[in-house]
Amino acid sequence: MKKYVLPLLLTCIATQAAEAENIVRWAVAADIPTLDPDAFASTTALTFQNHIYEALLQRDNDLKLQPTLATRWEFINDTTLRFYLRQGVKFQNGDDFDSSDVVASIARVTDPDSGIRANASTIKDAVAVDKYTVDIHLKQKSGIALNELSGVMMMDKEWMTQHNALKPTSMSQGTEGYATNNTNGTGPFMLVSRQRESQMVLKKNPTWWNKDHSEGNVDQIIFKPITSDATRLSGILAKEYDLVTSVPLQDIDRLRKDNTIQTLVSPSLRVDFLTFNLRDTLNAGNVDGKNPLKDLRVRQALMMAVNRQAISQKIMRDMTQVANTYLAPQIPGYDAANAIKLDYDPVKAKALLAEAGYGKGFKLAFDCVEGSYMNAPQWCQAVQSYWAKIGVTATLTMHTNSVYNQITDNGKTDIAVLGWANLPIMDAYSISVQLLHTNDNTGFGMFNIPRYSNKQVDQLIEASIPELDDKKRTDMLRQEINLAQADLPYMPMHYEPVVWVENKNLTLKQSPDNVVRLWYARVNQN
Amino acid sequence: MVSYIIKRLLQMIGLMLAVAFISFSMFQYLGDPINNMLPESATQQERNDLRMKLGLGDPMLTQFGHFIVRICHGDFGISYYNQVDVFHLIMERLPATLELVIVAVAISLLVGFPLGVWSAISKNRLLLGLVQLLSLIGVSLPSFLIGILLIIVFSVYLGIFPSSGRGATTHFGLWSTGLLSIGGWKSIVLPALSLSLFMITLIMRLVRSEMLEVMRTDYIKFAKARGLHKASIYYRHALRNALLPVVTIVGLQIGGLIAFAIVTETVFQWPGMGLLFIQAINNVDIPVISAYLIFIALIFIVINTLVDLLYYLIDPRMKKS
Repeated sequence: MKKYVLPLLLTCIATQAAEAENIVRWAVAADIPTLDPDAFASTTALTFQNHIYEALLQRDNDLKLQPTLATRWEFINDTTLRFYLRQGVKFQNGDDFDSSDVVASIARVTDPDSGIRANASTIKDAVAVDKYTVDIHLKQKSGIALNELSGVMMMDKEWMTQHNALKPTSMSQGTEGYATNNTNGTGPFMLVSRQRESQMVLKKNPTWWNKDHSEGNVDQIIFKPITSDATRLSGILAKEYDLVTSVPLQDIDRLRKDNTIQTLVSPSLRVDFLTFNLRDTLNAGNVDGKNPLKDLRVRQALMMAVNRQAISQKIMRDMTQVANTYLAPQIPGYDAANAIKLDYDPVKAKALLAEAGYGKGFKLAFDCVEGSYMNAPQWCQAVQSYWAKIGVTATLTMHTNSVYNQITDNGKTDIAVLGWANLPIMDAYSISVQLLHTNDNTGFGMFNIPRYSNKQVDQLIEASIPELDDKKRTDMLRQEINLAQADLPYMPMHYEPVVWVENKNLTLKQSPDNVVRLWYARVNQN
Repeated sequence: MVSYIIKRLLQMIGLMLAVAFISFSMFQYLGDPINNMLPESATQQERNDLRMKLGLGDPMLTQFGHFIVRICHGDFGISYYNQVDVFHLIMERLPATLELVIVAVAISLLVGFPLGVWSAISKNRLLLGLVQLLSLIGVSLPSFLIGILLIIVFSVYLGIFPSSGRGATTHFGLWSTGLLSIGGWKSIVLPALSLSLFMITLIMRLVRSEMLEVMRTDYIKFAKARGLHKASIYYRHALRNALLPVVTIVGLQIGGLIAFAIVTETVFQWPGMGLLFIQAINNVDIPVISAYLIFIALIFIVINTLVDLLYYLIDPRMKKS
């Protein structure tokens, strides 16, 4: 027996020493389906992949675009961006990073099978000039190419060739790809192990180019998807995690009482909207052969009838703010001076309805979705009852995400719910092109559920796209969004809160894009 | 015997086809996975292209036909969401679920049997009443609630067991097990316990009633009259004869446990097939849902057929009919 004691003791000491590493156990609500950065468009997937892969330029902790794998860039003509690459950067398998990797990565992201091709819509191709210089050609003159490129991860050409992964994994290939479960980036962390739906382990990349200037000191990340809210909450309380980035709002008060953890809550970039059906017919039935929602006064009345302040306080637990603009303040194009001024006033709302000729009220089909937007079922119900008070009867139906998408796609709704964060490009371009431009089946107005159409708005959006002067471009978008806000095709509700819970020992800045950047994080051992 | 087995096999195939068809037709109403798969900025053309590629525009019968043909080649397709081979995905999850079910069955047997025997022979009315009351609670509480309660007590307050996950696993080719490490055992205790609670109660009550019945028979009375040792009467003579119906029920319950582990797996984030299924439903991952249902149906049908065959072997009267 005795001869086992010493080795056992030594093992204990050894494991103790290993635990002295700075480990961050990070729990989220859902797993990342694939590690292939070009396969699947999701902010959460990108958030995780960002720890392994890097782009030519990237947003820092303050959401400013910073040089990453490129040191600088310039437009050499209207459709060509020249990038000067950082030298001495190595991939995690030891390969050098150079222009051939950029060319291969750009070809990969713009491949017809790429799942995030739409997030690189302006990019045509890349041509190497020399070993550390690359020209990226754009499809047309565009002011958002840099924003888009900040989401294009750089992969190793030799590694992709070796593992037959030059094309992104996709449904059409009919097989899974090497890059689905294996990674080789230039980023601050490298993948140690992956067990789907269970956990992923990342460790510090010892050869990361920026390690000497990095303020972070995290050695290891253990990423755990925990689907059930209650289980995740128990895990927080049992101190099984150091960072939880999806916490149900109703549990925050309880967590705040625990003094070993800190709760970070702030409004995000995502504005939650209700959409008004502006087609000729209402799904719930027209009144006197007309769609009442086409009357601006009716839409204004509907907005004034809802006490959004109360919803933000009670249902969103006072963890966010009412949104009176279509954009979050951090998005270029935001204009506080032109905020919509339709505060809660049920008396005036009723008067406006009467003025428009609908004093007796009318019926609406109201479709709400579960699981997509924070507490949406609850605030949909609240809106429904506020409208009932001014005589508007909305028939509220809850849907699951997949069914809901079909309903909104086909316009089979009068009032729908929609959230828009303008990510990943973080620019008013996103909401303008997708929500405010007339839906013309060519890619404009894909999420224009109301079928809103204003020629002036369309013209300003189209004029802004090829504008390379950022100030002029933002100005056009600002004008256009102000015009649209006055037309009120969408009713802004509030910003979705970002809620993180972290161990007191962890220092990590919360950002409104809800992206975790753990290479900036510090763990204080004590 | 051979003709009986062939008949059963044909029945199995028919049943499987029926299950496959019903499940497949149900998914036509689940919605469309396209929006979950493409970024917000995708164009209508890109949406239509993907829909075409996945064959979602085809008539339902055509889709079903393709599906059956592929299954017969052992190809369950690619998961829309995870973008990996579905068969591989299920095989990756199967060990976790089977391990959970086996441990849950073991716990149920180890606890349920002695409790059942004890409650059949005990004279302590107070304690008996308490156990009966507890067993009633065990049957009536929904398993997700039991799971949460176990987590609150053993993970949050006592901090003995982890609240979720499977702990460290060891891999042997396709198979993986968590039962070779302390962490793995610690992780399995709570989910297995919450899954087994219903079965413990079931076994306990069944053993008790069977025992009570056997105890009333003449040969037990004679054994008592002969002055045999009490333990020998209870465990050698009475329990043995009370065993057969219990074994049958346990056998049938195993299929149910595998299928209904969904709730327990969701609460404890147990990376088994149930969790995979829930996730697939959320994402309208039709290949995974269909494959899962077919797997579960297969497990049920195989277990039931085996039980039938066992009867055929045990009971000579069946051979004549």
